[in-house]
Amino acid sequence: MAEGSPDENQDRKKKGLEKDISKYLKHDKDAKDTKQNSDRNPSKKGNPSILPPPSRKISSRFPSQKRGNKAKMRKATPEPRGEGENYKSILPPPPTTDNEQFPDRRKERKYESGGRGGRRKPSRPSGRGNFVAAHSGDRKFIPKREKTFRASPESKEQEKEGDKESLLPPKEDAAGLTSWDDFFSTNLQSISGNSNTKFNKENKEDTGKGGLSTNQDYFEKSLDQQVEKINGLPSTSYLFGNNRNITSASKTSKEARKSEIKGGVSASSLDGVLPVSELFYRSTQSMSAEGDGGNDSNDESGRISRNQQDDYTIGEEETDDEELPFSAEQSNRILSKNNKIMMRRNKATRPSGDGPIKDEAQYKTDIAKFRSAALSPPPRTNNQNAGKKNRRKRGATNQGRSQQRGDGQGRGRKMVRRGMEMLVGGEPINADPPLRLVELNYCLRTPDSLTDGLLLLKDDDADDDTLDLVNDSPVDWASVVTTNSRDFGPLLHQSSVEKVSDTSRQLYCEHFVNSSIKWKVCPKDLKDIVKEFEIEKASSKSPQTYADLIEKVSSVKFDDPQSIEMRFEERPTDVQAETKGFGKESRKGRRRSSGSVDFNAQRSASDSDNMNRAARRSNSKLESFTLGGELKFSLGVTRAELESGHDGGSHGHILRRVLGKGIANAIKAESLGFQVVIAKMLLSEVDGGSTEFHVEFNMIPEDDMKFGEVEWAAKLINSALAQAMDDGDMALAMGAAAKTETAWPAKVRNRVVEEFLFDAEGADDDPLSDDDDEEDSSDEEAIDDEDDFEALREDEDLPLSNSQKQQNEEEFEDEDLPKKQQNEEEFDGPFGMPGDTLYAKDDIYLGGGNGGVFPDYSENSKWMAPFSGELGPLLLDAVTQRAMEKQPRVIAIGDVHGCIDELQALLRRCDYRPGDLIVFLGDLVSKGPDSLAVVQMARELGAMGVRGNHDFEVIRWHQAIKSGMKYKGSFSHTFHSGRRLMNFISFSTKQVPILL
Amino acid sequence: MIGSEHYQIASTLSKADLRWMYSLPWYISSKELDALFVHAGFVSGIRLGKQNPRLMMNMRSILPDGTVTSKFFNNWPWARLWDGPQTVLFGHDADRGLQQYEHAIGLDTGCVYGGRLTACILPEKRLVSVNAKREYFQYRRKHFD
Repeated sequence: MAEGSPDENQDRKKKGLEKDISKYLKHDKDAKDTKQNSDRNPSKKGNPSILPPPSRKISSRFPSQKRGNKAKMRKATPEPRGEGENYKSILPPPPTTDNEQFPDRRKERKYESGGRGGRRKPSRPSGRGNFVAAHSGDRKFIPKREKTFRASPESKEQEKEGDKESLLPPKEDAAGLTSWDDFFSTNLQSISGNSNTKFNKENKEDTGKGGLSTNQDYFEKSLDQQVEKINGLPSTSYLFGNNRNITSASKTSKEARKSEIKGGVSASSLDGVLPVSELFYRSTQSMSAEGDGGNDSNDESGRISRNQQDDYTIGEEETDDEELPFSAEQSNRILSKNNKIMMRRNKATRPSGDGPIKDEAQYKTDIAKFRSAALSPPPRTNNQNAGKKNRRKRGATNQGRSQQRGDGQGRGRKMVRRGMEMLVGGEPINADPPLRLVELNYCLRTPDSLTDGLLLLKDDDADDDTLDLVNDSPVDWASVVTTNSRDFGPLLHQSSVEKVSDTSRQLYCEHFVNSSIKWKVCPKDLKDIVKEFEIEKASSKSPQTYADLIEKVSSVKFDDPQSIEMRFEERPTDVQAETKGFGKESRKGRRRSSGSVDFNAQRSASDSDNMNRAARRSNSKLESFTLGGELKFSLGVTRAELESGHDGGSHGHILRRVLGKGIANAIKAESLGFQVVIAKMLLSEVDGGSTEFHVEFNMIPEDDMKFGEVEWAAKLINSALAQAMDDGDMALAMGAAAKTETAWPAKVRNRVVEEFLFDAEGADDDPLSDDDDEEDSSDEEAIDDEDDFEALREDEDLPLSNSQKQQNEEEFEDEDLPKKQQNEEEFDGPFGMPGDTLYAKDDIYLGGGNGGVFPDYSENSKWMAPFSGELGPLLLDAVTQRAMEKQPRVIAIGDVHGCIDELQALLRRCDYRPGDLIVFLGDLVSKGPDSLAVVQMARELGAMGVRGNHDFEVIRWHQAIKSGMKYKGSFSHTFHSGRRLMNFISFSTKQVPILL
Repeated sequence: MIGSEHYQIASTLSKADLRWMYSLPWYISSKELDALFVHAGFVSGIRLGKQNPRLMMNMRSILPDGTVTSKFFNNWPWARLWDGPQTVLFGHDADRGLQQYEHAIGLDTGCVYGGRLTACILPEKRLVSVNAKREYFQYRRKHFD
């Protein structure tokens, strides 16, 4: 019921608003003129009876709102008659065509004035009267106007209702309605949601001023009821939040209010009171006025629609502004000249998913979907790739720009920039940081700090005063510099530092050393430790610690123990990771499972880890290696069928061939110079006629490759494999391979193909139910294929040092992690949105938190650390020792602007080391040679910083990009979607004429 | 040109890096060090909680009439008006190069313009800097008085 009407209303409003805004901007002069005009007009008509006496009183309450009304009045005046008629038309259900403008104006006026008139709108009789009253109120300030007001055509109805109580529900009131509720119950049905929200502002304002609050009861009650009646409208509580209290208070004062009304509040008493809303709206107006010329039409409409269409929007904005560090209000007060531009918090950011917000989100979704469907945007990857290219050669910015434009189009949301503000699809982008201020605690080496008990000073060398304490507690270099922010890791979070165990600190040191070596800023002593370690590792001949691992490797893997493999495994972990006894990498394997077909592929880091070490240990003899992978899936075909062909004597050769081909195609192994060979294949029948596959395959380089190359290839293969499993390419490739397999009988072939493809399409949510059975199934049959297995002999020794290997390995893992591990958690929208979880459960002070900003220091993830925790103790000792000699410091660094070389040089000169905190003074990016590296380095070193204007810009772009396209939801009609869709359609036609 | 560069950076940065940047606050304050870290500056006379982020990221000058502007007015650096108590460490103002006032230190020495990259080591307020290897970005000087 309500849906239809609001839409129409909004449409009207929009139109009206557009016109009105232009008026808005006109000077007061005009307004005065209009006043005069208006005065004349009413007098001409000469309806003395029309005069609405109550209007005066109302006006007196809201003195501040004059201005807005003035401008509008002007237009209204020429057609006084029409306006009155329009009022009737205002009622939600029947939208009038031409008259719409007027209602819009009114609404706007109300909006500006605080929207009191707006509420009344919904109810016909009362609405008119009220509206008029509001009108008059504005004018009332100027004594002359009162007359004019009375003369206005609208007043006719008011007459009926009674002069003094124009605000009150007209007839009923006279009849002696006991409560407003009664009144509302009768009248409110027709109220559109939009008008209500506008009141919030006024309410807030009013609360301060007792006299002004008279209308609140009315409004609020009406709101509640409206909300109840109208679906999809924001709940009152949502809209009003803080104001609620006020309401109740005001209710008590009903009687007083009435008396006031009757008695009439003198306008003069309220003079000089300027409601905050007045400031606020002026600022917005100025904004819209300043909008870019080029985009005017769209901008304006967008803005307007925002203001007027969504009641809740308005209310929200207000509340948000109050919370915001720099609300428009604030800026206006502080620096009216410079701060015409206001930033608002992104509405969608609001944590509570109340009705209206959902609508908004859905709307976004809808739009995005709609447009994407209509425009078929270019795949995003292209853009990104292009972006990378562009970055490489900085000259190509033009290309970048055009691309960006195209991008925006593809997403179907228009990006508009207005000074500081960026709007996407009419929504302001919120790029505010999670913390406005970060407090930096620095533990000075003074007795005071000790007695404070905040942080124990632990880094004294020879300080007599604190000697005792130092003796008591171990030196804690990490807690010298801390912050109140958890975003930068446990060691920078004041209340977490103490909880960080030694092991974690060791790991931190490893990470630090690793990345600082990578960025060439490692302090020399630490570097030396690493060197020693590497040398020792490389030359160590008795790696007892690895004995068991090696055993495992050889036992599990290969039939030919002589050949030594370096294996990078594609191994299905999922539930079965236990085979390696590394339960901790609980990444979920990607699942391609549809009924009968399951694909599982997961690289098991632990495994490759083991392998690596094994290889490392036996470096001297190690001359050959292959890359191995594993694949597990099930197919709804019986084993007998699969092994058929060649009169049943194939023993799986055919199948093996098919699988090999499929895998090779899926990961494009040939282009990488590898040959895929199925080394081992386990088939186990599962009840229901399907078969579990456990395939191990080897990738054999076609040419000799150096170790480094192979490692590099392994990375590629891994990602390709993951990708293939993800996209279903694997299944498709398998299907294709099976299709071309001539040795199979047609029937079987088709069946197999069907199964494969079925998997690709229907891959859905079915969890792997069979996994557990797999291990137990007794009728496994191993088919070993020795013929195909060849180990590659390689001539050269492996020159890589251990650390390098480990490093590589780590990177290698890193590549995969985001794809596999973060599947569940990954939130790809703009930051600060619901769903954007900052911390996983136990990330609070350890590990992998804040979207990867800092690495995982927890003991469990030791294996992921650069040196697997082996080097940690040494490093930690060195760090601690050093901290005792020299107190950790804070290093503030000026604008870097992507100058990575200079930054590294500077850090070396500063003798940067763990425990020191780098604080960047903003502007890390842009202009310079390598912005990305700077940011990455800063993050990996655990630096902090403040935001510069360029950083802010980048963040905002990110938010804009993200909020532009990725919204997951379903298309549905919300009460305003109709209008907006129309907007977008026209918009799209404009920009992409080809479509039409 | 710069705008599109921002876009490129935003779309090429890894998620973690973006997240890191996103986590950066408008400003950092340290009671013990008696220091504030901010990109552009603060308006004196307004308490920190009320400072406008936009200005904190963009301001360069405060004119005699109190106008805060992001333009470079040679004689009216904002820092001169800042009377503490904390020492503000800020960047952003490459025009003026290294600025040292009693309660404010400007560290943007225009590295990307071929100047220097400067660091201030904090408890002791020691300045360290390195020369830029070359000029990476053409600097257009817009001067006002």
